[in-house]
This record gives sequence, C-alpha cells and structure tokens, in this order.
Amino acid sequence: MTFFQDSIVAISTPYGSSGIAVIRLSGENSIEIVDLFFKGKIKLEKVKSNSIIYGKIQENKHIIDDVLISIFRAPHSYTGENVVEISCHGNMFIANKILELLLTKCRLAEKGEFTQRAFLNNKMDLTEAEAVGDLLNAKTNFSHIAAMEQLHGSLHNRISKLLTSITDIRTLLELEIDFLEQDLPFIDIKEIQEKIRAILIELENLVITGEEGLILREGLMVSLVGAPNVGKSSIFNSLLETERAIVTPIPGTTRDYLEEAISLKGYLVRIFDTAGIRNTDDSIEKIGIERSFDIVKKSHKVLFIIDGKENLEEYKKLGELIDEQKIIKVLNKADLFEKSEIDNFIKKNYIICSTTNKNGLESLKEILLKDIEISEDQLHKGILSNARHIAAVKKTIESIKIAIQSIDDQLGFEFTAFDLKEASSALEEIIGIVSTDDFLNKIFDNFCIGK
Amino acid sequence: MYKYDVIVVGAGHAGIEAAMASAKMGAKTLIFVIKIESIGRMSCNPSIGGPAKGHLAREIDAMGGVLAKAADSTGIQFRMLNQKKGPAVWAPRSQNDRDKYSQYMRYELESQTNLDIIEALIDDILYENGEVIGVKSNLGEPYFAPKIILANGTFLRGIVHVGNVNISSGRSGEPASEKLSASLIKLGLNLQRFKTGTPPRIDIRTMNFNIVEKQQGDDNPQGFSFYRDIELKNSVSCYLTFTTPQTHQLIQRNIKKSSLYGGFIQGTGPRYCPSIEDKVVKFASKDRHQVFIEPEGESTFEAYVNGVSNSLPPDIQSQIIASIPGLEKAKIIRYGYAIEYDYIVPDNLKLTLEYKKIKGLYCAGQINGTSGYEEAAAQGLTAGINAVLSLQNKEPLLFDRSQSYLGVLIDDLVTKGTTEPYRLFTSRAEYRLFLRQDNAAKRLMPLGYKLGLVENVRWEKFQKENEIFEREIAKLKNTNSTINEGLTQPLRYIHLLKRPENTYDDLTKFGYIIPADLTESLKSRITLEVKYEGYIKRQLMGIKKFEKMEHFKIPENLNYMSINSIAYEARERLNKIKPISFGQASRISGVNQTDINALMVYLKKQSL
Repeated sequence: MTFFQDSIVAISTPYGSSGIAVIRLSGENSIEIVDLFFKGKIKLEKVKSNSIIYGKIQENKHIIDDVLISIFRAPHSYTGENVVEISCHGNMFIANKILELLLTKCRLAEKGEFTQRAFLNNKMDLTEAEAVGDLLNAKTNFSHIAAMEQLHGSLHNRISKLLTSITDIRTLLELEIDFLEQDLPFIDIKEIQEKIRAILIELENLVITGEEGLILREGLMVSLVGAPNVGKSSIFNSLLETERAIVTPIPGTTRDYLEEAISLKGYLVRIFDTAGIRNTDDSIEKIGIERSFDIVKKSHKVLFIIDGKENLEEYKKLGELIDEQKIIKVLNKADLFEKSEIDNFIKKNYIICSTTNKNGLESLKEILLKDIEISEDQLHKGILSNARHIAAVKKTIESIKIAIQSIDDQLGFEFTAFDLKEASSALEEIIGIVSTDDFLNKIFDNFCIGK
Repeated sequence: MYKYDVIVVGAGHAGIEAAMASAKMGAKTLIFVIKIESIGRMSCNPSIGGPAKGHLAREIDAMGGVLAKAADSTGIQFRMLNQKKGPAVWAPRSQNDRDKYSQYMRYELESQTNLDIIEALIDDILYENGEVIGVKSNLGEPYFAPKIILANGTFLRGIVHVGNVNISSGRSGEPASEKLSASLIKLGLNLQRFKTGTPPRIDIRTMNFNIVEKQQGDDNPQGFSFYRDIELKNSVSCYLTFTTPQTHQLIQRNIKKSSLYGGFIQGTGPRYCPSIEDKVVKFASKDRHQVFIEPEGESTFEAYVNGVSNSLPPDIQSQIIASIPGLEKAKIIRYGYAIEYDYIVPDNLKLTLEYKKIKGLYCAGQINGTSGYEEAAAQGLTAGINAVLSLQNKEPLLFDRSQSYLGVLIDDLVTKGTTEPYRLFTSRAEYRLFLRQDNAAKRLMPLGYKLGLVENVRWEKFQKENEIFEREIAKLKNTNSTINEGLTQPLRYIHLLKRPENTYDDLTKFGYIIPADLTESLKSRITLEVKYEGYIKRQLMGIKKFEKMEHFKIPENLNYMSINSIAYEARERLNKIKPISFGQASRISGVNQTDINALMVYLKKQSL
C-alpha cells in the first residue's frame, strides 16, 4: 500500500559543483514523468527494474544534458514507490534546469520526504529512519514557515500582491454566484477579464525576475575584449584549465567568437572570447566585430585586457557599449613588468594577472562573482526555491490563461472562478500559505448582504 | 408504556425528514411537536431554494426526503436563479403557500406507516450508563427509545424580542422549551446563544401595486423533485421596492429602542441575513436597501416584507413600513421580531450527528447552529438515517464533501464549527462544478434507494433516465453527422455539440435524430457534460486526490494528548473533533500539515 499518489522530486546531491548530480523522483507516475523529457534507445517504461539506461534529457528537442537513469519499480525501491534517479553532470545550472522541467509535472519534495515515504511504505523501521536523521527534520521542515523564509522579501510581496488581486476577483465572482438579487454593484465580466489580463502580464514579468535570477538560471556571461595578442586566449584557456569545463547547454552559433562554459563555485559562467571591438576596414573582420558588439552588450561582465599599453580609445568605445561598472580592467603578462609599474596599474584599478605563472587568476575569478553576493546557504535556498517558484508561476500562468479564455467562451462565472482558484493555489505554493477561501468574510465585510 | 425505536423531538424541517427516513427504513418512530398545526412551519420567508439551498433541496429529494416534493406541491411561484451565471450554479427557487406547506407535511407524517405523532412538550432526556433511553414530557409521561433525535429549532430557551419587551417563546405565538436545555447541560452538551430575526407581515391589499416592481415566475417552471409529475404553477408574483433615506433616519433616530442595539440581545446573528438596523448602521453610506414583498399563500392576503427584519417597537415598525414607497398605507398583520435561542456547539457531534459523549442522542437542524429549512432538512435526514443504521448495527452513512452539498454541510459543521448561524453557499463546496443540481439524482439516488428511502416507481424512472443518458452519449460519440453543411467532412456529433455555438437541438441540422424519450432536462444535462467535459475532468481529478485522504482512516479512540510530536493546540483540537480520516483532520482549524505528518508517523509507529 502506498500512502501518497503524488510524485515528488528533489536534487539529492549537495548543491554546488561536483562530478555528478543526482535528481531523484518518487511516486506512482515518476517513470512516465521522466519519460516525457527522456530520449534514449527505449522508453523508460520499457526499461527493466533495477537497471541503468543512458540517454538525453531534453526540453522541446533541445538537449539539456547527457544522463544516466536508474529505474526502481515499486515496491523494490528506497521509498517503496516507483523511483527514478537521474545522474547528470554535476553542475548546478544543469541540475536545476532538469529539476525545473520535472517540476512542471510533479512537486518538489519536502526535506526528509523520501525517507518518510520509505518509512510509511514499510521500507525501513523507525530506528533506521531515525538513523537517516531526516525524519525528525521532516517534522520541522514541513512547516510552511520554512517555505516562507526561502523567499526574498520583495518577491514575497510581489506574489502576495498578485494573490490579493486574484482573490479580489474571486470574491467578486463568488459574490455574484451566491448573493444574487442583492442590490449590489453590477459586475462587468469584461472588466474582470481585463483585470485578469493585467495579472497575467505581471506573472509573465515575474518569470523573468531580475538580473540575479537570470544569472543563476542562464549563467554569468563574461566576454573578453582587447587588442590582438594581449593574451585574451590565454586567459580564456587558463580559466578553462583551472575550472571544470562543462558542456554548454546553449546551442552554439557561428563561431566568430569562442564560447565555453565553466562551473565557478557552482555558478555557470559562460566565457566569450571575442574578436574585439576595434575599428577595421576588413569586411570579413567587420562581421566578426559586429558580433562582438552584441556579445559585449549582453555580457554581465567584460574583461578588458591589456598587456601594458593602455588602450584608451578602445576602453572609451567599450564604455559606450556597456555600463562601466561591468568592465573589469585586466593587466596581463604581469610577469614582464617591474613592481613600480604594476603598482601604477593597481592604482588605476587593474587586476594584475599572468597566464604564464597563473598569478592573479584567483582574484579575477573572485571579482567575476563579486556582485552575485549570495552565501552558500542562501544560494542553496534561493536556487531550490527558484526552480520551484518558476514552475509554480508557470502553472499559475497556465490557469490564468484558461480563465481568460473561459470568459471569452462565456462558460459561466463558476468556471472562471475554478481556474482562478487553481491559479491561486499554485501561487500559494510559493509563499507557503494554504488558503482558507475566506470569501464569505470578505463579502460580509465589504458588501451589504441580505434581504 | 410507550416504547419506540426512534423518537424525534420537534416536527420542523429537520424533525420531519428525520422521522420520515427513520419510519421508511422500518424503525418504529415517534415524533413530538409542541403544536400540531405547526408541523413543517416556515418560520421565516415562505420560500425554498436559491444557490446551494436549491442544490441541497434536490439532493434531499434524491435521497428520498420530502422537502422537495412539498415545495413542488405547494409552490406558488417558481424561478430558476443564476441562469446568467453558469450551469453549475443555476439554482431553483420557489415561493410557497405557507399553510399548505404545513398541511402537506402534516399529511405526509400522518400517512407514513411506523410513525406516530404526539403533541407534547419534552422537558427531559432519560439516560442510563452513557446511553439515552427515552424522553419525558412536561406532563411527566416517559417515552422510551434507544435513539433520540433532537430537532428543536429555535425553541430551546427561545426568547422573542420586540423593542424592550421580551417573551419566552420558541416562535411567535408558541411556547419555548424551557427545561430541555437544563437537561442537555446536565448531559454535558455545550450550549451557546444565537440570534435571528424576522420582518413584519402586511396585508398585500393595502400595498400600492402601481409603484412597486413586479417579479413574475418563470414561463417554464422547474421545481425540485426528480419525480416531475407534480404540476408546477405560478399563481402569484413577488414585488420589489426599496427603503428610503427617511427609513434610515427613522431607524438611526430610534436605534436604541431596538432590542438588538438597546443591549437586550447577547446572541450572535447571521451576517448574510442582517436586520435592517444592522444594514443601516453598518452600511450607512447606502441610501437604499431592497425590500421584497412575498405573498404568503393563495388563501391569505398576508405578505412577507423581506428585507426589513427588525426588533424595533411596533410603532416604529409601522413608521418604517410607511416610509417605503408602495407601502405608505400598508397595514401590518404581524410585527417583526428578533429571537434568541440555545444551540449546541456542533463540534460536540460526530459526522452522523450523534452526540459524541452519549450513545443514541442525535441533534439536527437549527439546534446545531444552522439556519435555513434546507440545511435543517438535510441534517434531519442524516440523523434519521444514521440512527436507524446504528440500531441495525450497520455501518454509518457519512456524506462526502466531494459527492454532495449534504456532505459539505455536515462536515463544515462538525469539523470547522460555526460562529454565526450557518448557511450553505456554493462557495463552501470545493467541488462545485461536480455538485450540480442537474446531477443530484445521479449522485445520490442509488444511495437513497439502497437504504429503502426511494420508492420503486422513482427508482425505475431514474434507471430509465440513466439508460437514455448512456445511450445518447454513446450515440454522440460514435456516430458521424450525415448532413454536412458548413463542414469540410463529417464529424462526430459529440464534436459538434462541443462547439460553443451549438445546442442539442442544433444537432438536427447535421442529421441527428432526437428520440422522443429524450427529455429537456436530459438534453441539458448531456449538453452540460459534453461542453464542460474538460472542467469536469479536472474537478474529478481533484476529487480523486481528496478521496485518498478521506479513505485514510484514523482509529476512533486515539488519545491525541499523548502524542508529543503534535503541537499542543492541534492535539486539543484533534481530541475535541476526533476526526475519522486524515482528510477530516486536515480541515480542522489549528491543525496544520506538520501535525498531520506527525500523526501519520505516530500511527505508523503504533502499527509496527
């Protein structure tokens, strides 16, 4: 007997970078859920129990990662339910991307929930369960307060406001349904639809939520700019050599520039070695340089590299393309300079670096991550909730769209109300509250009801 | 010596259903009423139905109850409300002839085999060893039965208030039940005070018909009962007018003379049905309030002035009436009043409506803190059925929130409790798209039939209807259009019916032949199920999930106070309610997910 019918998912390995990351699902439908995103020689549903299969996880035919998938069918699994374990490359970005994808079909496991299920499904006795240590944690961590703490205040406010807007509309609909023949203001359903549309726009904005969220999700874009032969490529290569290079999940375009991705302290960092931004008459070179412009404009950080000669003209030009705060000035080949000269560059805010003796590379890396000031702990929570939040907001958007459609189709207020209720529930998951559907109080407080 | 299986105290809307269900199920039943002419009295407005209440009426009917048949048989105006909203919340409502309704109910009770009626006031509950054994009347006569159903309405220590005058009374002109409360307190029941009220009645001939707005019944009246061979007719109209600023000034000026605002009343009243004093005070910015004039019957000129319920002294009431356009010269026949009464805090009860601490004692209706005829009848039915099932040592009948408004009502009362007289609203039902008035029979009649509450003739009709339903659905799914005007290729009829612009009758344009046995109500039910299939499926998915938690049972005699992993407040609530399933436990206020999880783990430990 299983106690639960819903499938749960979580990244089971620690956050940050590691050799591999494991994403685990448990629940009746876990195999079919993964099948939706899996491409291998055979469907997972056909795979024998307790075996491993190689394949790809993809989203709309776009490959996210090469993975190994282990299938454990109920009751012969850790939890006693169908369990799928996806081993992907040990990069936070990839693991989160896969998690995010799966969260559109199942929910995030609470802490200790796998163990709790194992216990409830007779897969382990109490001592074992307590030894795992999760069970006690499970009790405190199930608390919705914990879920609330995972949210940044501003995001929490934004979601709360959205929820209030939806609730207000739901209240109006309920008022219309249950309190007819009252002398109440006429409710224009088209006006309500406009209000729902406004909510949709706000929700869509929420998905693209701020630079920081984007960096976490899409990676930090760093481009290298400088005159030929200043050592751009060697810095590029050094960064790759000293950090784990990963398969970039973003499909490559024409290579007028080189793009590689590394995992830096768990962050995805995408490095672009550009063709530079200098003026040129060469028409082929021009195309490359125009592309560099685009890359530079999109970058979160630009390494402006010199090898001794200050290139003021190009620096000025760079300043026209992007905010100067994003520029990191780098003196390369520092091993060729006297200390006094170097001090001079330091005064001018150059990062001193040498690819020959690897000096300065560490400070360069630190500076790259400087503005993403999230502690390990915050990062953990932030990322975790991030994927969950995005999935929840996407669910909300889906319901809101159906609600808008239901008004066009003139289905009836109760159907629109139903869609909006689903929308509310999805949003409530984010801020960890359970609605009491307290419409009656709102109605009695605000409208004169009763014959 | 009087010996029965089941004794019902009170013959209002709850008592009637309880006694009828009990007698129909074969139990030897006795029903008490304070005044025989008051059986089935509509104490408030002469009307049945409306949103959620109309749904409930149809459910009671599907279960074999009498309320819907009485409403149809004595209806004088029928309307289907909410038609501009959506089909899940269409709500039938009737105006009824108050006296005929009572007479109908009295006749029903008198005609029922296994059922005796006695006019008496019950003062005492007799019990032994934690079980009831009978009741005692004010004349000192004992009546014995192992199952007692209390359906006393507003009669427990009822006090009628008009201005600064108060009279012990269970309803205007009828004595209160003064001693029974003491007997209940002795049994450990927790009694509290609620308040409700009623407006003045006027002689409709003294109304100026020219300046009030007339509201007629539907051209195609639809009632409540499934067995539609009752001829429904609209013989009266209702009328709409409004209060004026003058009305409001009058009330403001005399507010302290009102029992409610003069400090004479302690009980809590319903917010959805406020007195005119409350409306004027709490919504001072509104310059008018609606007033509906509802005829009380075909053989009287008395009319109910819906909207001005109050507890002001008679002279002020007269002035208020005179300040309303159309009622300037209206004569009051009865004055409005407020009434305070004892109710039993419903968390004392099980889902069967049996009192938790005393075996055999059931409570139903307004005594449980509800308001409304339909809500009362629904509880009466539940208590009656369960009293007999218990007598027969059978499993109780527990209505489920996902299957009926009956379930929503009972679960709300028992699990969540209420802080004001409880009324059902469609918004209280999570599975509203499924709990429709059109499918009430489908949802519940098999249950009613199994219990022996539904007559064979209705059951056969129901089965026949189901057959037609299935047959037509299959036909729609499996056959293609034969006339393909405007279509590029033949289509399954079901796809054509799904299109928003097509009605069932429109299918004939594409070659569909509508059989003679397909009634209008079936057509509309099929149309609804086809057009809203997606929504209904989504709703059913929710129900599946819900049921899993409902079927996940909790042992009955669990000592929650010893489970340290559950928060103390939650332990107290759980101990009080004693939920039967994890589903019910999760709906108790003050019990959160953490506690539920801790409880799961605890129970698992116990079973290891």
